[in-house]
Amino acid sequence: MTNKDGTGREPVLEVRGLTKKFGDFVAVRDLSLAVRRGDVYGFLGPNGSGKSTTIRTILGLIKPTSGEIRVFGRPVGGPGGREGLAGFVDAPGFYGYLSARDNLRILAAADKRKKEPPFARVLETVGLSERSRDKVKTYSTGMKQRLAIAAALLREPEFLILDEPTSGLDPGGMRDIRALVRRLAGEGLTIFLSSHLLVEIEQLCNRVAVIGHGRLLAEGTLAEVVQGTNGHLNYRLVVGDAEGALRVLEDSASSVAASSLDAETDRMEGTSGEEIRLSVGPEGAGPVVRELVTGGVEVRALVPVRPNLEDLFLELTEGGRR
Amino acid sequence: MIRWELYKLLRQRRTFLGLGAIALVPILFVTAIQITREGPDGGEVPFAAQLLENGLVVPLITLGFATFVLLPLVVAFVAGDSIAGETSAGTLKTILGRSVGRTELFFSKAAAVLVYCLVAPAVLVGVGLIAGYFAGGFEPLAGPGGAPISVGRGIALVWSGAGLVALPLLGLAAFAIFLSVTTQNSLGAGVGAVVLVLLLRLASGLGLAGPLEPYLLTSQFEAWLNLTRDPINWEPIIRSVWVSLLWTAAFLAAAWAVFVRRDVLS
Repeated sequence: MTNKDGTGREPVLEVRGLTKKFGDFVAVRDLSLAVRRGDVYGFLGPNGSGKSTTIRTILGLIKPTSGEIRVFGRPVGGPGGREGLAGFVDAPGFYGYLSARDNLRILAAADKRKKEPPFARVLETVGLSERSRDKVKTYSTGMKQRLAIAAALLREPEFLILDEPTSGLDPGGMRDIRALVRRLAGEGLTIFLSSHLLVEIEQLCNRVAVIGHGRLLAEGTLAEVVQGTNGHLNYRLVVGDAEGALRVLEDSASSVAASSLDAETDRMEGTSGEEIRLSVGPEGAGPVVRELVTGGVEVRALVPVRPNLEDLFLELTEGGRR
Repeated sequence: MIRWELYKLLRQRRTFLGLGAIALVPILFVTAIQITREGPDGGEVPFAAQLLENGLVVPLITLGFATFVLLPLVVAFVAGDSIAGETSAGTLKTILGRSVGRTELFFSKAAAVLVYCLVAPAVLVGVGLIAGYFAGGFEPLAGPGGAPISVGRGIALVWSGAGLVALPLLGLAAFAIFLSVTTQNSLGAGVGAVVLVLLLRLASGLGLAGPLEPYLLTSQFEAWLNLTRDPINWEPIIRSVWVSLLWTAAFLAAAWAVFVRRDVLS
Protein backbone atom coordinates (compact mmCIF):
# COMPACT_ATOMS: atom_id res chain seq x y z
CA MET A 1 0.00 0.00 0.00
CA THR A 2 1.26 3.39 -0.90
CA ASN A 3 -0.24 6.52 0.52
CA LYS A 4 -0.08 9.94 -0.97
CA ASP A 5 3.23 11.00 0.51
CA GLY A 6 4.80 7.90 -0.89
CA THR A 7 6.25 6.49 2.32
CA GLY A 8 4.42 3.26 1.67
CA ARG A 9 3.23 2.99 5.24
CA GLU A 10 -0.39 2.89 6.25
CA PRO A 11 -1.65 6.01 8.02
CA VAL A 12 -2.63 5.25 11.62
CA LEU A 13 -3.79 8.73 12.57
CA GLU A 14 -5.01 11.34 10.13
CA VAL A 15 -5.97 14.78 11.38
CA ARG A 16 -7.44 17.03 8.70
CA GLY A 17 -8.29 20.67 9.15
CA LEU A 18 -8.85 20.32 12.88
CA THR A 19 -10.11 23.51 14.51
CA LYS A 20 -11.25 23.80 18.11
CA LYS A 21 -12.67 27.00 19.53
CA PHE A 22 -13.64 27.71 23.12
CA GLY A 23 -15.87 30.73 22.72
CA ASP A 24 -13.78 33.29 20.87
CA PHE A 25 -10.53 31.58 21.76
CA VAL A 26 -9.10 29.40 19.03
CA ALA A 27 -7.14 26.62 20.74
CA VAL A 28 -6.32 24.71 17.56
CA ARG A 29 -6.51 26.20 14.09
CA ASP A 30 -6.76 24.18 10.90
CA LEU A 31 -4.33 21.51 12.05
CA SER A 32 -3.50 18.64 9.72
CA LEU A 33 -1.04 15.86 10.32
CA ALA A 34 -0.57 12.17 9.65
CA VAL A 35 1.07 9.46 11.71
CA ARG A 36 2.00 6.30 9.89
CA ARG A 37 2.41 2.76 11.14
CA GLY A 38 5.68 2.31 12.98
CA ASP A 39 6.23 6.00 13.61
CA VAL A 40 7.32 7.37 16.93
CA TYR A 41 5.79 10.71 16.22
CA GLY A 42 6.82 13.66 18.31
CA PHE A 43 4.27 16.36 18.96
CA LEU A 44 6.28 19.30 20.09
CA GLY A 45 5.04 22.56 21.45
CA PRO A 46 5.27 24.82 24.45
CA ASN A 47 2.64 24.78 27.17
CA GLY A 48 -0.60 26.28 25.92
CA SER A 49 0.18 25.63 22.27
CA GLY A 50 -2.82 23.37 21.70
CA LYS A 51 -1.13 19.99 22.21
CA SER A 52 -3.50 18.78 24.89
CA THR A 53 -6.55 20.08 23.07
CA THR A 54 -5.48 18.15 19.99
CA ILE A 55 -4.92 14.98 22.01
CA ARG A 56 -8.23 15.36 23.82
CA THR A 57 -9.95 15.59 20.46
CA ILE A 58 -8.17 12.47 19.22
CA LEU A 59 -9.20 10.61 22.39
CA GLY A 60 -12.81 11.73 21.91
CA LEU A 61 -12.90 13.80 25.10
CA ILE A 62 -13.80 16.99 23.27
CA LYS A 63 -15.58 17.55 20.00
CA PRO A 64 -13.82 19.46 17.24
CA THR A 65 -15.40 22.69 16.05
CA SER A 66 -14.50 21.57 12.55
CA GLY A 67 -12.22 19.11 10.85
CA GLU A 68 -11.86 15.39 10.86
CA ILE A 69 -9.85 12.83 12.80
CA ARG A 70 -9.45 9.25 11.66
CA VAL A 71 -7.70 6.46 13.50
CA PHE A 72 -7.02 3.38 11.39
CA GLY A 73 -9.27 4.96 8.79
CA ARG A 74 -12.31 5.24 11.09
CA PRO A 75 -13.66 8.56 12.36
CA VAL A 76 -12.86 8.73 16.09
CA GLY A 77 -16.35 9.93 17.01
CA GLY A 78 -18.04 6.99 15.27
CA PRO A 79 -18.61 3.39 16.31
CA GLY A 80 -15.36 1.55 17.02
CA GLY A 81 -13.54 4.82 16.42
CA ARG A 82 -11.11 4.30 19.28
CA GLU A 83 -10.45 0.65 18.47
CA GLY A 84 -6.73 -0.08 18.55
CA LEU A 85 -6.03 3.30 20.17
CA ALA A 86 -5.05 3.94 23.77
CA GLY A 87 -3.42 6.76 25.59
CA PHE A 88 -3.72 9.50 28.10
CA VAL A 89 -3.74 13.26 28.24
CA ASP A 90 -2.26 15.58 30.87
CA ALA A 91 -1.40 14.24 34.30
CA PRO A 92 -2.97 10.79 34.49
CA GLY A 93 -5.99 10.56 36.79
CA PHE A 94 -6.52 7.49 38.94
CA TYR A 95 -8.65 6.54 41.92
CA GLY A 96 -6.17 7.21 44.71
CA TYR A 97 -8.19 5.27 47.26
CA LEU A 98 -7.93 2.10 45.18
CA SER A 99 -4.98 -0.13 44.36
CA ALA A 100 -3.32 -0.01 40.94
CA ARG A 101 -4.84 -3.39 40.21
CA ASP A 102 -8.36 -2.19 41.05
CA ASN A 103 -7.81 0.89 38.91
CA LEU A 104 -6.80 -1.33 36.00
CA ARG A 105 -9.80 -3.60 36.60
CA ILE A 106 -12.16 -0.62 36.41
CA LEU A 107 -10.53 0.61 33.20
CA ALA A 108 -10.67 -2.90 31.74
CA ALA A 109 -14.40 -3.00 32.53
CA ALA A 110 -14.74 0.29 30.67
CA ASP A 111 -12.94 -1.27 27.70
CA LYS A 112 -15.79 -3.73 27.10
CA ARG A 113 -13.48 -6.38 25.71
CA LYS A 114 -14.41 -10.01 26.02
CA LYS A 115 -10.83 -11.17 26.29
CA GLU A 116 -9.25 -11.34 29.75
CA PRO A 117 -7.08 -8.22 30.01
CA PRO A 118 -3.33 -8.83 30.50
CA PHE A 119 -3.11 -7.26 33.99
CA ALA A 120 0.02 -9.08 35.12
CA ARG A 121 1.86 -8.50 31.87
CA VAL A 122 1.28 -4.74 31.68
CA LEU A 123 2.21 -4.27 35.33
CA GLU A 124 5.37 -6.24 34.65
CA THR A 125 6.12 -4.17 31.55
CA VAL A 126 6.06 -0.90 33.50
CA GLY A 127 7.73 -2.41 36.56
CA LEU A 128 4.84 -2.03 38.98
CA SER A 129 4.09 -5.69 39.75
CA GLU A 130 5.33 -5.48 43.30
CA ARG A 131 3.40 -2.34 44.16
CA SER A 132 0.22 -3.24 42.30
CA ARG A 133 -1.77 -3.88 45.47
CA ASP A 134 -0.86 -0.57 47.04
CA LYS A 135 -3.22 2.36 46.90
CA VAL A 136 -2.39 4.71 44.04
CA LYS A 137 -2.37 7.70 46.38
CA THR A 138 0.88 6.31 47.80
CA TYR A 139 2.50 6.37 44.34
CA SER A 140 5.12 8.85 43.20
CA THR A 141 4.57 10.93 40.06
CA GLY A 142 6.80 8.56 38.12
CA MET A 143 4.85 5.52 39.26
CA LYS A 144 1.59 7.20 38.26
CA GLN A 145 3.04 7.91 34.82
CA ARG A 146 4.06 4.27 34.52
CA LEU A 147 0.62 3.16 35.68
CA ALA A 148 -0.89 5.40 33.01
CA ILE A 149 1.20 3.62 30.40
CA ALA A 150 0.17 0.25 31.88
CA ALA A 151 -3.47 1.35 31.69
CA ALA A 152 -3.04 2.25 28.04
CA LEU A 153 -1.27 -1.04 27.26
CA LEU A 154 -4.15 -2.93 28.89
CA ARG A 155 -6.14 -2.22 25.75
CA GLU A 156 -3.44 -4.01 23.76
CA PRO A 157 -3.34 -1.06 21.37
CA GLU A 158 -1.50 -0.73 18.09
CA PHE A 159 -1.41 3.03 18.48
CA LEU A 160 -0.37 4.66 21.72
CA ILE A 161 -0.78 8.32 22.64
CA LEU A 162 1.42 9.61 25.43
CA ASP A 163 0.99 13.18 26.58
CA GLU A 164 4.13 14.54 28.24
CA PRO A 165 4.91 11.17 29.84
CA THR A 166 8.05 12.46 31.55
CA SER A 167 6.44 15.61 32.91
CA GLY A 168 7.23 16.17 36.57
CA LEU A 169 9.77 13.34 36.74
CA ASP A 170 13.32 13.39 38.05
CA PRO A 171 16.11 12.49 35.61
CA GLY A 172 16.03 8.83 36.64
CA GLY A 173 12.28 8.67 36.11
CA MET A 174 12.63 10.35 32.73
CA ARG A 175 15.26 7.84 31.66
CA ASP A 176 13.03 4.92 32.72
CA ILE A 177 10.03 6.24 30.79
CA ARG A 178 12.11 6.95 27.69
CA ALA A 179 13.58 3.46 27.83
CA LEU A 180 10.06 2.09 28.10
CA VAL A 181 8.86 4.12 25.13
CA ARG A 182 11.83 2.90 23.09
CA ARG A 183 11.07 -0.69 24.04
CA LEU A 184 7.39 -0.35 23.10
CA ALA A 185 8.34 1.22 19.79
CA GLY A 186 10.70 -1.68 19.27
CA GLU A 187 7.79 -4.05 19.79
CA GLY A 188 6.06 -2.43 16.82
CA LEU A 189 3.70 0.04 18.46
CA THR A 190 3.01 3.28 16.67
CA ILE A 191 3.50 6.04 19.23
CA PHE A 192 2.34 9.63 19.33
CA LEU A 193 4.36 11.41 21.97
CA SER A 194 3.76 14.97 23.00
CA SER A 195 6.46 16.91 24.74
CA HIS A 196 7.84 20.35 25.22
CA LEU A 197 11.35 18.92 25.51
CA LEU A 198 13.25 18.89 22.26
CA VAL A 199 15.84 16.50 23.65
CA GLU A 200 13.15 13.96 24.42
CA ILE A 201 11.78 14.17 20.90
CA GLU A 202 15.31 13.90 19.54
CA GLN A 203 15.99 10.75 21.51
CA LEU A 204 12.77 8.98 20.72
CA CYS A 205 11.06 10.17 17.57
CA ASN A 206 11.58 9.65 13.87
CA ARG A 207 9.01 12.24 12.84
CA VAL A 208 7.86 15.40 14.50
CA ALA A 209 5.18 18.05 14.27
CA VAL A 210 5.75 21.42 15.88
CA ILE A 211 2.72 23.32 17.09
CA GLY A 212 2.49 26.85 18.44
CA HIS A 213 -0.54 29.03 19.13
CA GLY A 214 -2.73 26.21 17.87
CA ARG A 215 -1.13 26.09 14.43
CA LEU A 216 1.08 23.52 12.83
CA LEU A 217 4.44 25.24 12.39
CA ALA A 218 6.46 22.42 10.92
CA GLU A 219 6.21 18.75 10.22
CA GLY A 220 8.73 16.25 8.99
CA THR A 221 11.71 14.27 10.14
CA LEU A 222 13.49 15.77 13.10
CA ALA A 223 16.44 16.79 10.94
CA GLU A 224 14.17 18.63 8.51
CA VAL A 225 12.41 20.48 11.28
CA VAL A 226 15.43 21.30 13.40
CA GLN A 227 17.34 22.65 10.44
CA GLY A 228 14.73 25.32 10.30
CA THR A 229 11.54 25.81 8.43
CA ASN A 230 11.66 26.05 4.65
CA GLY A 231 15.02 24.32 4.71
CA HIS A 232 16.71 27.27 6.38
CA LEU A 233 20.00 26.70 8.14
CA ASN A 234 21.25 28.64 11.11
CA TYR A 235 24.77 29.85 11.74
CA ARG A 236 26.69 32.02 14.05
CA LEU A 237 29.03 34.24 12.12
CA VAL A 238 31.99 35.96 13.72
CA VAL A 239 33.08 39.03 11.80
CA GLY A 240 35.36 41.97 12.34
CA ASP A 241 32.56 44.47 11.96
CA ALA A 242 28.97 43.39 12.60
CA GLU A 243 27.37 46.61 11.42
CA GLY A 244 29.21 46.48 8.12
CA ALA A 245 28.26 42.84 7.65
CA LEU A 246 24.60 43.55 8.32
CA ARG A 247 24.69 46.37 5.76
CA VAL A 248 26.10 44.00 3.15
CA LEU A 249 23.52 41.36 3.97
CA GLU A 250 20.64 43.81 3.75
CA ASP A 251 21.44 44.36 0.07
CA SER A 252 22.12 40.67 -0.47
CA ALA A 253 20.54 38.78 -3.31
CA SER A 254 20.59 35.53 -1.28
CA SER A 255 17.67 34.50 0.92
CA VAL A 256 19.27 35.38 4.17
CA ALA A 257 18.15 36.74 7.47
CA ALA A 258 20.65 38.13 9.88
CA SER A 259 20.70 39.85 13.20
CA SER A 260 23.50 40.91 15.45
CA LEU A 261 23.88 39.09 18.72
CA ASP A 262 24.51 40.58 22.08
CA ALA A 263 28.29 40.67 21.97
CA GLU A 264 28.69 40.39 25.71
CA THR A 265 26.53 37.38 26.39
CA ASP A 266 26.70 35.38 23.21
CA ARG A 267 30.34 35.64 22.33
CA MET A 268 31.89 32.31 21.51
CA GLU A 269 34.89 31.32 23.45
CA GLY A 270 38.21 31.54 21.67
CA THR A 271 37.10 33.87 18.90
CA SER A 272 37.37 37.58 18.96
CA GLY A 273 35.08 39.71 16.88
CA GLU A 274 31.45 40.56 16.65
CA GLU A 275 28.79 37.96 16.20
CA ILE A 276 25.91 37.76 13.83
CA ARG A 277 23.17 35.23 13.75
CA LEU A 278 22.47 34.01 10.24
CA SER A 279 19.58 32.09 8.82
CA VAL A 280 20.18 31.11 5.23
CA GLY A 281 18.27 29.26 2.55
CA PRO A 282 18.84 25.69 1.40
CA GLU A 283 21.74 26.80 -0.82
CA GLY A 284 23.80 27.09 2.38
CA ALA A 285 26.13 29.72 3.79
CA GLY A 286 28.60 29.73 0.88
CA PRO A 287 27.02 32.48 -1.23
CA VAL A 288 26.52 34.68 1.83
CA VAL A 289 30.12 34.35 2.92
CA ARG A 290 31.24 35.16 -0.62
CA GLU A 291 29.12 38.30 -0.61
CA LEU A 292 30.49 39.33 2.75
CA VAL A 293 34.06 38.85 1.69
CA THR A 294 33.43 40.66 -1.58
CA GLY A 295 31.82 43.44 0.44
CA GLY A 296 34.99 43.77 2.47
CA VAL A 297 33.82 42.13 5.66
CA GLU A 298 36.39 40.03 7.50
CA VAL A 299 34.82 36.62 8.23
CA ARG A 300 36.57 34.96 11.16
CA ALA A 301 34.31 32.00 11.92
CA LEU A 302 31.15 30.35 10.72
CA VAL A 303 29.54 27.95 13.18
CA PRO A 304 26.41 25.95 12.39
CA VAL A 305 23.82 26.25 15.13
CA ARG A 306 21.44 23.52 16.05
CA PRO A 307 18.63 25.47 17.53
CA ASN A 308 17.37 24.62 20.95
CA LEU A 309 13.63 24.53 21.37
CA GLU A 310 13.43 28.18 22.21
CA ASP A 311 15.32 29.14 19.09
CA LEU A 312 13.32 26.70 17.03
CA PHE A 313 10.13 28.32 18.17
CA LEU A 314 11.30 31.81 17.54
CA GLU A 315 12.48 30.56 14.19
CA LEU A 316 9.18 28.94 13.39
CA THR A 317 6.90 31.61 14.72
CA GLU A 318 8.82 34.62 13.46
CA GLY A 319 10.32 33.08 10.36
CA GLY A 320 13.79 33.94 11.58
CA ARG A 321 13.38 37.61 10.72
CA ARG A 322 14.15 39.57 13.81
CA MET B 1 -19.91 -0.76 34.96
CA ILE B 2 -22.64 -0.46 37.63
CA ARG B 3 -20.83 -3.05 39.70
CA TRP B 4 -17.63 -1.01 39.60
CA GLU B 5 -19.44 2.23 40.35
CA LEU B 6 -20.90 0.60 43.47
CA TYR B 7 -17.49 -0.77 44.34
CA LYS B 8 -15.95 2.71 44.12
CA LEU B 9 -18.75 4.09 46.28
CA LEU B 10 -18.07 1.35 48.82
CA ARG B 11 -14.38 2.14 48.94
CA GLN B 12 -14.78 5.86 49.61
CA ARG B 13 -14.64 7.22 53.12
CA ARG B 14 -17.34 9.77 52.31
CA THR B 15 -19.86 6.98 51.76
CA PHE B 16 -19.38 5.56 55.21
CA LEU B 17 -19.16 8.90 56.94
CA GLY B 18 -22.66 9.60 55.63
CA LEU B 19 -24.03 6.18 56.51
CA GLY B 20 -22.27 6.29 59.88
CA ALA B 21 -23.84 9.64 60.69
CA ILE B 22 -27.22 8.22 59.74
CA ALA B 23 -26.71 5.10 61.88
CA LEU B 24 -25.72 7.28 64.81
CA VAL B 25 -29.06 9.07 64.89
CA PRO B 26 -31.16 6.26 66.41
CA ILE B 27 -28.26 5.18 68.63
CA LEU B 28 -27.80 8.69 70.00
CA PHE B 29 -31.54 9.05 70.35
CA VAL B 30 -31.86 5.90 72.47
CA THR B 31 -28.72 6.71 74.46
CA ALA B 32 -29.88 10.25 75.17
CA ILE B 33 -33.20 9.04 76.47
CA GLN B 34 -31.53 6.37 78.61
CA ILE B 35 -29.21 8.96 80.12
CA THR B 36 -31.96 11.51 80.81
CA ARG B 37 -34.15 8.82 82.32
CA GLU B 38 -31.42 7.97 84.76
CA GLY B 39 -30.87 11.62 85.56
CA PRO B 40 -28.50 12.70 88.32
CA ASP B 41 -31.29 13.38 90.80
CA GLY B 42 -32.76 9.96 90.17
CA GLY B 43 -35.96 11.60 88.99
CA GLU B 44 -37.49 10.78 85.63
CA VAL B 45 -37.64 13.15 82.73
CA PRO B 46 -41.32 13.37 81.78
CA PHE B 47 -42.32 11.04 78.90
CA ALA B 48 -38.79 9.70 78.38
CA ALA B 49 -39.72 6.38 79.90
CA GLN B 50 -42.85 6.19 77.75
CA LEU B 51 -40.75 6.71 74.65
CA LEU B 52 -38.70 3.71 75.51
CA GLU B 53 -41.59 1.55 76.52
CA ASN B 54 -41.96 0.72 72.86
CA GLY B 55 -38.83 0.40 70.75
CA LEU B 56 -40.89 0.53 67.55
CA VAL B 57 -41.19 4.25 68.09
CA VAL B 58 -37.45 4.76 67.69
CA PRO B 59 -37.14 4.13 63.92
CA LEU B 60 -40.34 6.06 63.25
CA ILE B 61 -39.30 9.14 65.18
CA THR B 62 -35.76 9.13 63.86
CA LEU B 63 -37.03 8.66 60.29
CA GLY B 64 -39.26 11.70 60.65
CA PHE B 65 -36.40 13.65 62.16
CA ALA B 66 -33.74 12.60 59.63
CA THR B 67 -35.83 13.60 56.61
CA PHE B 68 -35.48 17.23 57.65
CA VAL B 69 -31.74 17.60 57.38
CA LEU B 70 -29.55 14.55 57.70
CA LEU B 71 -30.80 12.26 54.92
CA PRO B 72 -31.02 15.07 52.32
CA LEU B 73 -27.61 16.36 53.40
CA VAL B 74 -25.85 13.01 53.11
CA VAL B 75 -27.48 12.14 49.79
CA ALA B 76 -26.78 15.62 48.39
CA PHE B 77 -23.07 15.35 49.05
CA VAL B 78 -22.66 11.82 47.75
CA ALA B 79 -24.65 12.62 44.59
CA GLY B 80 -22.95 15.99 44.18
CA ASP B 81 -19.59 14.26 44.13
CA SER B 82 -20.59 11.60 41.60
CA ILE B 83 -19.45 13.31 38.39
CA ALA B 84 -17.66 16.40 39.70
CA GLY B 85 -15.40 14.30 41.95
CA GLU B 86 -14.18 12.35 38.93
CA THR B 87 -13.77 15.49 36.90
CA SER B 88 -11.56 17.14 39.51
CA ALA B 89 -9.57 13.94 40.18
CA GLY B 90 -8.91 13.63 36.45
CA THR B 91 -10.38 10.12 36.41
CA LEU B 92 -13.26 11.10 34.13
CA LYS B 93 -10.89 11.68 31.21
CA THR B 94 -9.10 8.42 32.02
CA ILE B 95 -12.29 6.39 31.91
CA LEU B 96 -13.78 8.21 28.91
CA GLY B 97 -10.61 7.48 26.97
CA ARG B 98 -11.69 3.81 27.01
CA SER B 99 -14.43 2.18 24.96
CA VAL B 100 -17.35 2.79 27.32
CA GLY B 101 -19.92 5.27 26.02
CA ARG B 102 -20.81 8.37 27.93
CA THR B 103 -24.46 7.36 28.29
CA GLU B 104 -23.58 4.03 29.85
CA LEU B 105 -21.06 5.62 32.19
CA PHE B 106 -23.54 8.30 33.24
CA PHE B 107 -26.34 5.89 34.04
CA SER B 108 -23.99 3.52 35.88
CA LYS B 109 -22.95 6.40 38.09
CA ALA B 110 -26.53 7.54 38.55
CA ALA B 111 -27.61 3.99 39.40
CA ALA B 112 -24.94 3.69 42.09
CA VAL B 113 -26.10 6.97 43.64
CA LEU B 114 -29.73 5.88 43.50
CA VAL B 115 -28.82 2.65 45.28
CA TYR B 116 -27.23 4.80 47.96
CA CYS B 117 -30.54 6.70 48.29
CA LEU B 118 -32.26 3.41 49.07
CA VAL B 119 -29.56 2.21 51.45
CA ALA B 120 -29.40 5.41 53.52
CA PRO B 121 -32.96 5.34 54.94
CA ALA B 122 -32.72 1.54 55.23
CA VAL B 123 -29.66 1.91 57.45
CA LEU B 124 -31.51 4.48 59.52
CA VAL B 125 -34.55 2.33 60.21
CA GLY B 126 -32.52 -0.89 60.43
CA VAL B 127 -30.33 0.53 63.16
CA GLY B 128 -33.41 2.21 64.66
CA LEU B 129 -35.22 -1.12 64.93
CA ILE B 130 -32.26 -2.82 66.57
CA ALA B 131 -31.59 0.07 68.97
CA GLY B 132 -35.28 0.37 69.77
CA TYR B 133 -35.64 -3.35 70.35
CA PHE B 134 -32.79 -3.47 72.84
CA ALA B 135 -33.92 -0.28 74.56
CA GLY B 136 -37.58 -1.09 75.03
CA GLY B 137 -38.69 -4.16 73.10
CA PHE B 138 -41.54 -4.04 70.60
CA GLU B 139 -45.18 -3.36 71.56
CA PRO B 140 -48.21 -2.60 69.39
CA LEU B 141 -48.33 1.07 68.44
CA ALA B 142 -51.14 3.53 68.94
CA GLY B 143 -52.02 4.98 65.51
CA PRO B 144 -52.90 8.66 65.01
CA GLY B 145 -56.63 7.84 65.40
CA GLY B 146 -55.98 5.76 68.49
CA ALA B 147 -56.45 2.43 66.71
CA PRO B 148 -53.74 -0.07 67.65
CA ILE B 149 -51.11 -1.08 65.10
CA SER B 150 -49.78 -4.59 65.61
CA VAL B 151 -46.01 -5.19 65.96
CA GLY B 152 -45.91 -6.95 62.57
CA ARG B 153 -47.69 -4.10 60.86
CA GLY B 154 -45.54 -1.66 62.79
CA ILE B 155 -42.34 -3.20 61.41
CA ALA B 156 -43.82 -3.24 57.91
CA LEU B 157 -44.73 0.41 58.44
CA VAL B 158 -41.17 1.25 59.39
CA TRP B 159 -39.73 -0.35 56.24
CA SER B 160 -42.38 1.07 53.91
CA GLY B 161 -41.77 4.45 55.49
CA ALA B 162 -38.08 4.14 54.66
CA GLY B 163 -39.01 3.16 51.11
CA LEU B 164 -41.27 6.17 50.68
CA VAL B 165 -38.65 8.51 52.11
CA ALA B 166 -36.15 7.11 49.59
CA LEU B 167 -38.27 8.37 46.68
CA PRO B 168 -37.83 12.12 47.22
CA LEU B 169 -34.19 11.34 48.04
CA LEU B 170 -33.89 9.99 44.49
CA GLY B 171 -35.25 13.28 43.17
CA LEU B 172 -32.83 15.23 45.31
CA ALA B 173 -29.95 13.00 44.19
CA ALA B 174 -30.90 13.60 40.56
CA PHE B 175 -30.82 17.34 41.18
CA ALA B 176 -27.41 17.04 42.86
CA ILE B 177 -26.11 14.96 39.93
CA PHE B 178 -27.35 17.65 37.57
CA LEU B 179 -25.44 20.27 39.58
CA SER B 180 -22.46 17.92 39.70
CA VAL B 181 -22.38 17.74 35.89
CA THR B 182 -23.01 21.43 35.28
CA THR B 183 -20.87 23.01 38.00
CA GLN B 184 -18.10 20.36 37.97
CA ASN B 185 -17.65 21.16 41.64
CA SER B 186 -18.43 18.47 44.23
CA LEU B 187 -18.89 20.77 47.16
CA GLY B 188 -20.89 23.33 45.17
CA ALA B 189 -23.22 20.63 43.87
CA GLY B 190 -23.78 19.22 47.38
CA VAL B 191 -24.38 22.64 48.89
CA GLY B 192 -26.64 23.59 45.97
CA ALA B 193 -28.84 20.56 46.54
CA VAL B 194 -29.06 21.26 50.28
CA VAL B 195 -29.97 24.86 49.53
CA LEU B 196 -32.78 23.62 47.27
CA VAL B 197 -34.17 21.58 50.18
CA LEU B 198 -33.94 24.56 52.54
CA LEU B 199 -35.58 26.92 50.03
CA LEU B 200 -38.43 24.52 49.35
CA ARG B 201 -38.95 24.02 53.09
CA LEU B 202 -38.91 27.77 53.57
CA ALA B 203 -41.43 28.25 50.76
CA SER B 204 -43.69 25.66 52.42
CA GLY B 205 -43.23 27.18 55.85
CA LEU B 206 -44.11 30.66 54.65
CA GLY B 207 -46.99 29.40 52.53
CA LEU B 208 -45.40 30.77 49.37
CA ALA B 209 -45.85 27.64 47.28
CA GLY B 210 -49.64 27.94 47.09
CA PRO B 211 -51.18 25.30 44.84
CA LEU B 212 -47.71 23.92 44.02
CA GLU B 213 -47.20 22.85 47.61
CA PRO B 214 -48.18 19.17 47.09
CA TYR B 215 -45.71 18.92 44.19
CA LEU B 216 -42.62 20.27 45.95
CA LEU B 217 -39.89 17.71 46.39
CA THR B 218 -39.74 18.36 50.12
CA SER B 219 -43.47 17.80 50.56
CA GLN B 220 -42.90 14.19 49.54
CA PHE B 221 -40.80 13.51 52.63
CA GLU B 222 -43.98 13.52 54.75
CA ALA B 223 -46.02 11.21 52.51
CA TRP B 224 -45.07 8.11 54.48
CA LEU B 225 -46.95 9.43 57.54
CA ASN B 226 -50.16 8.61 55.70
CA LEU B 227 -49.27 4.94 56.06
CA THR B 228 -50.05 5.22 59.78
CA ARG B 229 -53.65 6.17 59.13
CA ASP B 230 -56.42 3.61 59.27
CA PRO B 231 -57.51 3.20 56.59
CA ILE B 232 -54.31 4.22 54.77
CA ASN B 233 -54.67 7.49 52.88
CA TRP B 234 -53.28 6.44 49.49
CA GLU B 235 -53.78 9.62 47.53
CA PRO B 236 -50.76 11.58 48.91
CA ILE B 237 -48.67 8.41 48.82
CA ILE B 238 -49.36 7.76 45.16
CA ARG B 239 -48.75 11.43 44.39
CA SER B 240 -45.45 11.24 46.23
CA VAL B 241 -44.38 8.32 44.06
CA TRP B 242 -45.00 10.00 40.74
CA VAL B 243 -43.91 13.46 41.82
CA SER B 244 -40.61 12.08 43.15
CA LEU B 245 -40.03 9.99 40.05
CA LEU B 246 -40.81 12.99 37.86
CA TRP B 247 -38.20 15.11 39.67
CA THR B 248 -35.74 12.23 39.34
CA ALA B 249 -36.36 11.66 35.64
CA ALA B 250 -36.33 15.36 34.76
CA PHE B 251 -33.01 16.16 36.42
CA LEU B 252 -31.34 12.92 35.34
CA ALA B 253 -32.37 13.62 31.75
CA ALA B 254 -31.06 17.18 31.96
CA ALA B 255 -27.80 16.03 33.54
CA TRP B 256 -27.37 13.30 30.92
CA ALA B 257 -27.99 15.74 28.07
CA VAL B 258 -25.22 17.99 29.38
CA PHE B 259 -22.86 15.14 30.21
CA VAL B 260 -22.88 13.47 26.78
CA ARG B 261 -22.21 16.74 24.96
CA ARG B 262 -19.74 18.40 27.22
CA ASP B 263 -16.05 18.74 26.45
CA VAL B 264 -13.97 17.00 29.09
CA LEU B 265 -11.25 19.50 29.82
CA SER B 266 -9.81 18.48 33.16
